[in-house]
Amino acid sequence: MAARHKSVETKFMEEREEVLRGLRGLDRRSFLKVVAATAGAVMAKGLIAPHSFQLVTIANAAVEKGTSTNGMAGQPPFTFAYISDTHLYERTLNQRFIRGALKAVEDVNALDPQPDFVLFGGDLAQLGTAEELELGQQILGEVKAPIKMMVGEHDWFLDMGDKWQELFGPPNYSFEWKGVHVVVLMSVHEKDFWTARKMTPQQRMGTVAGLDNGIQSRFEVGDEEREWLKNDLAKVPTTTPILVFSHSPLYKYYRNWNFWTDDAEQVQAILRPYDKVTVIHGHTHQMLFNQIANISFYGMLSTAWPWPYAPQGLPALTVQMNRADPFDQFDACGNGRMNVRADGLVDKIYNLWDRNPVTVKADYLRSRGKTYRPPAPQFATY
Amino acid sequence: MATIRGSADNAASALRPKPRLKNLARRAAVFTVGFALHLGLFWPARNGLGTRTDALDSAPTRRLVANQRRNSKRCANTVRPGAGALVPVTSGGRGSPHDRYRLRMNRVRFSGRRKVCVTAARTARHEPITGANMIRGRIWIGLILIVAATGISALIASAQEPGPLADPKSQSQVGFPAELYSWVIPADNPQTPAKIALGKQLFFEDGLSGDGKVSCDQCHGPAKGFTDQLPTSMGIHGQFGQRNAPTILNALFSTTQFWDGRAATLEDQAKQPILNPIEMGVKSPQEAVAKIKAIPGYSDQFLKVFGHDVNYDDMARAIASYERTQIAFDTPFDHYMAGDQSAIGDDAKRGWSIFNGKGRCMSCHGWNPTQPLFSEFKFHNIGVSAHKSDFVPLARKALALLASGSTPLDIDKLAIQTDMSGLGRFLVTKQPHDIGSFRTMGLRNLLVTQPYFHDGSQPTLWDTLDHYNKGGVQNPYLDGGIVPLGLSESEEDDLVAFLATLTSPEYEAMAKEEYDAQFKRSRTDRPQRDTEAAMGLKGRNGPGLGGPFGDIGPDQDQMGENPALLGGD
Repeated sequence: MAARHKSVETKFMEEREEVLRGLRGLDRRSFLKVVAATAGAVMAKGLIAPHSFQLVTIANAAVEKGTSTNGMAGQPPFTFAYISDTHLYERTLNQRFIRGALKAVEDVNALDPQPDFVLFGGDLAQLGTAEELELGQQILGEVKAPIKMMVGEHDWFLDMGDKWQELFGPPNYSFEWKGVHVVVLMSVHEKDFWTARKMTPQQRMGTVAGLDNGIQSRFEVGDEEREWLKNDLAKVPTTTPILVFSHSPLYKYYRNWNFWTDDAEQVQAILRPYDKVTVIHGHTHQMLFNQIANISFYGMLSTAWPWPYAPQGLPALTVQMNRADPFDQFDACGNGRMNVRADGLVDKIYNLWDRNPVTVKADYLRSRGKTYRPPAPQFATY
Repeated sequence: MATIRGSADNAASALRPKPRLKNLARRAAVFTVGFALHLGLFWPARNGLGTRTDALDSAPTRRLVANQRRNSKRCANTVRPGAGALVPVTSGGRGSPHDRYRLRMNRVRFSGRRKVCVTAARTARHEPITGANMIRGRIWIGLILIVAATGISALIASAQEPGPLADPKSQSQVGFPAELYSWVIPADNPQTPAKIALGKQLFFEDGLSGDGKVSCDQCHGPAKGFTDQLPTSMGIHGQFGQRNAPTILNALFSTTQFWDGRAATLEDQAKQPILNPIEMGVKSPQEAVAKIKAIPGYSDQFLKVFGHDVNYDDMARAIASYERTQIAFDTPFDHYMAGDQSAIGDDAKRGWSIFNGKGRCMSCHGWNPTQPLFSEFKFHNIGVSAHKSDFVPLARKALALLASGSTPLDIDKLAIQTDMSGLGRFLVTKQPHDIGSFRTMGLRNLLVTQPYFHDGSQPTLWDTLDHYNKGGVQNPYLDGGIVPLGLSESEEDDLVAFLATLTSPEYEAMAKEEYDAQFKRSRTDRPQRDTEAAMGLKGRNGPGLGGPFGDIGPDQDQMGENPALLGGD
């Protein structure tokens, strides 16, 4: 590789670091003054501070004070960001998805303060090749915060996950974070449709990557992994907030496009005893949220392209985004952030790249849409 | 510029005074004044009026250009517009002690002029006459010449300044969007001849500035396509702002005003430069009103037009009304679209095809018969200010400042006077996706409104196309539509040929001169050209992310029959 010289972005980042160092040097009084001023501007606009240039943790902490009495009071709130569905091709074939992925990396690196970790939501590659996955690993390597990886069907079905697991480890795992139990699932197993048809790995991958075909089976977490999930949760008290990351939505939205998890009800049943469960999923590339019993669901945005909404099955609570501007590859794409509140519920910020960010509060879903309805996304600048 | 023909050669345009003739006359007048000053009063200010300004990017050159245009303005505005009477140079505040001061200041500020000074001093040493007599003699010669020059220039000016280019335009232009026009005239400020005349007078009113020397036309001069042809504009006391002056031509159709859309209407727009400390430098609306009231005639006119005495809102209404008369269509391209196949050349037709296809220009600079403006009036980061702006720290700084106050005038000051100018639309919306975004500008009469972009950073159309061709300048907020285009040299030439057909007849000669200069320069000097990046062979830096990249558009000649060659209509 040729000697690396500093890109415009790298320089920006260094300058930014400089400013941050300066900010840390501020005395407490003037720092709080800046914070209060920015927060004031945000309040005046009627928005929660949903973007990177506001000192989000502090602004949110003020908002949280009143709500932290129930649940796991005393636990610190935290923030994590996500990047999802980058669908990278080899770079000689496609530049735009690389641009999208890089833009997302820059976005999360610009967050101030930095998120506790960054979730990658699956579908790093488009056709599961080693080149694509390695390119993805290189790009995500630029993320400053720790990365939590999740697998998508586009990463898996060429070699049934060999390369992905070699690069990123096991596809399902769990960890504790500041009082929250986090579970990462591999939810895109499919029943064997390829052996009988004598498909090559490429044909298998191509089939899974397509929509509207009757050949592939529906996604499922599967018996084995549901067993694993049961065992994993066995030691977790039911008052503990649970965060589940899965690539496919853990409910049934639209079968033809595999916006679907076939054993969704069984998985939901395993999660039923817990008070506060939030599922964060990829795959659908759109603003999408839902509430089923005790479980709040948030879909993640893709950095590659937005899917249109499916013709049926859209959860009633979802506030739709407008149709994307086809000229602008970034429109209706993006990334986002979750604010995990002190009570363990999760507010989600959709950082739509060319529109105003949208905050969806847990209270909106939990009240079944009675309060805090988020505004429809707008092109602020039209 | 072989591609501009057809309508421009018709009889009507032949009857108009030729800009070249006017230019010569102005040159002569300015030269005489300069010569007189040289001889009699001061060391000379070099009056290179009409000199093409090539190296626009260096600060000394900018100052030179500024001096030139200031001198040209001195001559060009010897008659108060609308007044119809001769006002000699010496009594209109020009040639006053202030002017002398300015000349002296110019001499000091522009080191290049020192050479002239030295020459003058040397010449003086070689003259046999010495002492007070000589000086007195020179003063007399100087004064005589000044009076002569004044007479000449005033005569010329009386016929031509602000001249036909400043007149309200006819609406019977080919391509004029009559329906759109009827929508954009606000109900609370209808067009009336008296109001337009008043607005025109105010537009050229030097008295509407802190130092009594700057009027709207300093930066929006009719002879320069209602711009100043400077990278960024100069206001009172020779101070430069951060933004390039957008043209008034067709500004009435724009859905927002200013590069960042911080004003919704022309009325709102007109109020801001007057109060900006480094543009026109008036301290308050009240002071502006007082200044106008103090000039005889205005109070009566306001009474006639608005039914009451001068106020700031009505000043803005009148100016906006005048600006709404500046429509510019009737270009060879408009004739082509109206069905005249011979109105533009084959190169321009190929350019039009690239414009709609491989070049992706149409995506933002859209044209259609209802809205033939070549802009969708949205805001995009195309990487222009990424050259010099560190967006993230700047955005933080701007947010902190705007938190304590974000009135239109606060934003105006940040946009015009600080390095936060590069944040563009972000200053207005405070949304990160607007960082470095500026409004899409129309493309008509580009060859008289150079240089290009919000900071005037690109002197030629080729440089501008090179910027787009390489996919802009990478930055975290680059618009999703900005990608490497893979345009070849000949495709860029065709695009420029097409853009040249967007010249209205009154600017034809000027545009041809500019085209020739830009063409010549483009053959040797292409600082923005980056063929590798344009062809996708070079990409983002980062571990393993060097090129080549895919996704370049197909060659134009692979597209089969060129749709543009099928003709308009």
